[in-house]
Amino acid sequence: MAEIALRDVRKTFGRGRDAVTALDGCTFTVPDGEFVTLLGPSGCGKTTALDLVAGFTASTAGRVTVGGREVTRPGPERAVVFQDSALFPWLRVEDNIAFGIRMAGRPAREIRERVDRLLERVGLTEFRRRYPAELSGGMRQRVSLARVLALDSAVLLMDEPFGALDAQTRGLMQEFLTGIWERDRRTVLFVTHDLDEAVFLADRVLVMTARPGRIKQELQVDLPRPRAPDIMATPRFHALRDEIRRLVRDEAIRTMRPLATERGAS
Amino acid sequence: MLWQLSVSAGLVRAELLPGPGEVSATLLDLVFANSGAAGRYSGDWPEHATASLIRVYAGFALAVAAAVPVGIGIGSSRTFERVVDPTIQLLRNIPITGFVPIAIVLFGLGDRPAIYLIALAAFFPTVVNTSYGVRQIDQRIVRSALMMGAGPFQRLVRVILPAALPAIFTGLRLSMGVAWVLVVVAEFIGVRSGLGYLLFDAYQFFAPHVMLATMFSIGLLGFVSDRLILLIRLRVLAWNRLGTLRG
Repeated sequence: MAEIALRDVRKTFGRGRDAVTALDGCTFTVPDGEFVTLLGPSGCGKTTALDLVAGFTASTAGRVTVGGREVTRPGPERAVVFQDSALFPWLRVEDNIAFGIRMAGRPAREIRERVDRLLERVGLTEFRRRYPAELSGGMRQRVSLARVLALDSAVLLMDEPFGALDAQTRGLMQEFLTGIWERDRRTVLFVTHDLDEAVFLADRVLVMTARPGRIKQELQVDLPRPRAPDIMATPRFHALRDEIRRLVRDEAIRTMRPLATERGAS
Repeated sequence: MLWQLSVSAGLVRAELLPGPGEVSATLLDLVFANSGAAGRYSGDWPEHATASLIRVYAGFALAVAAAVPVGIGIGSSRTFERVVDPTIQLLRNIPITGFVPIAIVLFGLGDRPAIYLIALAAFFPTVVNTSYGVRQIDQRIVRSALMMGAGPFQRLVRVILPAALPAIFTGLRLSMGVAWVLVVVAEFIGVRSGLGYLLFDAYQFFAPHVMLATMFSIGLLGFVSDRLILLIRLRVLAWNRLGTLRG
């Protein structure tokens, strides 16, 4: 079981006058083996929520649990894919992928075999001796995905992993990720601000409010699997996306309100 | 060219500033004792150069051995930074030549005060650059290592050190340069060997051609030392080639 659960979580950064509350009363669950996307206007605390689950920061109040156990620090049972890859620039592709398995102290032969298999899975076998700087953005994110799959984690946390890619590459990466996920169904929490992406990938979409963030609404995505990009042309997809668009728009407007009143006053 | 021309044209007096031709002949004679151009210094260079090289590299090695760990400490711990950094910044601003008397008082004469001075001077560029290198590490890279299960030691050796290495190498190059400056200063006093001593001796006995040849040879050794570090950098940091804005 690797269920992610946040119960009444608050997270405040800074102190006194400079204090910013990123999350307040944030409660949600990602059931074991489900793909959940977390969607919301920029600055709403999506990434903060993900950092809490990853164990990079601690909550100010409330409980964050994975598989029933309180999260206290980062660890390989909760793998993270960052925006803009965050690969080790001094390691070749194959060594980046092997890093986590090496940390786990696996024997050399097993490491080699697993790296070979993963390279093949992400289609980068012929680039194994390259450094990250020599790859395109899409290739780098495939390496990030491979190094995380190597950990064999029950939980996958993804923070706008395709946000920095061009639309074409992003579409291909979404398709690629769906294919991988549909094979071994890990628990995934995927942060994004892209509506199509949120609906296409997810079993369930969580829409967040403007800061301080909490869950505004939860929507079941009842589109059939396996999914291919042509699903985005179906009426059901459009209906879901439009409903979510409305929800997010309301929140985005709320974050813009100070701006609107300023303009009205002048 | 300009140098040779001005000497030949009589713009400067050859007995004060010998031309490059004479200086090269002197240098060759200093090294190989082949022409007698260096007079009574003929063939003295290898011995002095060896003495200087030993001091420079010993001082440099001591400096680096201390500066890299301290720099990593300053760069990664706020508390460590608060305790150690002000002291370092204060000491850094005292001209190293100001430490000459205290070095002699503490270590007497001979190799030890020279090595101490070189180590002290070479310490600062590497410590400052190392701490900078650690401080500028992308937080997500450290988080990646944490998330993949790297412990404190593994993070240090496999993440922080390699990530800071480009900045550390910049520090090493600056430190090596400073070490060559200091060896000359240190050898002016208290020792009877080394290129600094040779230079000072040639000055006292008024042998400008030997002075210039020695200066040139110090520059050459400094240059070669720097190239050596660059060569190591090239091998160690294959992923981080030194490029310029124009490629």
